Amino acid sequence: MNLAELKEQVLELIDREMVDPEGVDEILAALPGGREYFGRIKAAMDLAELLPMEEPPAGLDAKILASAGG
Amino acid sequence: MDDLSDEELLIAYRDGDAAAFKTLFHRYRGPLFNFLLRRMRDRGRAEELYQDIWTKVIERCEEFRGDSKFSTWLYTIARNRCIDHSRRMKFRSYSSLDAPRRDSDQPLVERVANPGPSTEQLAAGATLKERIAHAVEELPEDQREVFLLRQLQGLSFGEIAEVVDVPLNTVKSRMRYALERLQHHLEDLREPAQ
Repeated sequence: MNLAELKEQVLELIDREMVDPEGVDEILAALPGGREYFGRIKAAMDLAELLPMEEPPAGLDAKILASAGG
Repeated sequence: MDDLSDEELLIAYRDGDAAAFKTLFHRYRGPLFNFLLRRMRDRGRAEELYQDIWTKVIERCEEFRGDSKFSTWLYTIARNRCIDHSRRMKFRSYSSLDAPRRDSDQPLVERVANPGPSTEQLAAGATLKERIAHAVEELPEDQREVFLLRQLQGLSFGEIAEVVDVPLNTVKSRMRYALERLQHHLEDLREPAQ
């Protein structure tokens, strides 16, 4: 695998890491720049988890449920 | 009720069980609202579309064939409504910005001296969560919608491909580009490597 291929498959590799960390580590170790790119994408995914969630207005929810017959 | 699938709940609602709709609604209300909020980048529009989309679900639940998942059906409706709405807004905004105002011969677009704070100014004063939200809202639309469907609703890439009607590999590429951009925008938040 070269770096371009790793970039294309990085999402699969992140999933795979959960079940096969040694296999993924082996791939990253053999590829200059691979571990860094992998780490950057994982860091972005971690930050994305912090995306704030906002609540829909309660009045709108009540209206929708009323129109559904609830 | 909680152990029923989304599709079973919709069918139960179709058969007259209003409580089934309530359960289904509570599964999706938060992620759908946040999808609309971040996709449209305007709270008022997001609220308008949120109500509109649920109304469509209620009106069109008879059309749900069950050969796709409820989640992909819901988000396909949501995405189509967003696209229609954006088209209408674009047209309206072109007309209104180009048209001379009653109180002036000059079109509004020429009279707007200060369009507001720059991206950098906004980013500098923002909290971590606000910065992340801002970085997401700055993503190109095609990347943003894939990112939001994955992040907020946890749809699989296959389901997202169905919603946005592009090949699976395109969805994966868009997600990767979105993450690369986010990483670039939020680079300074990473802890230095040990």
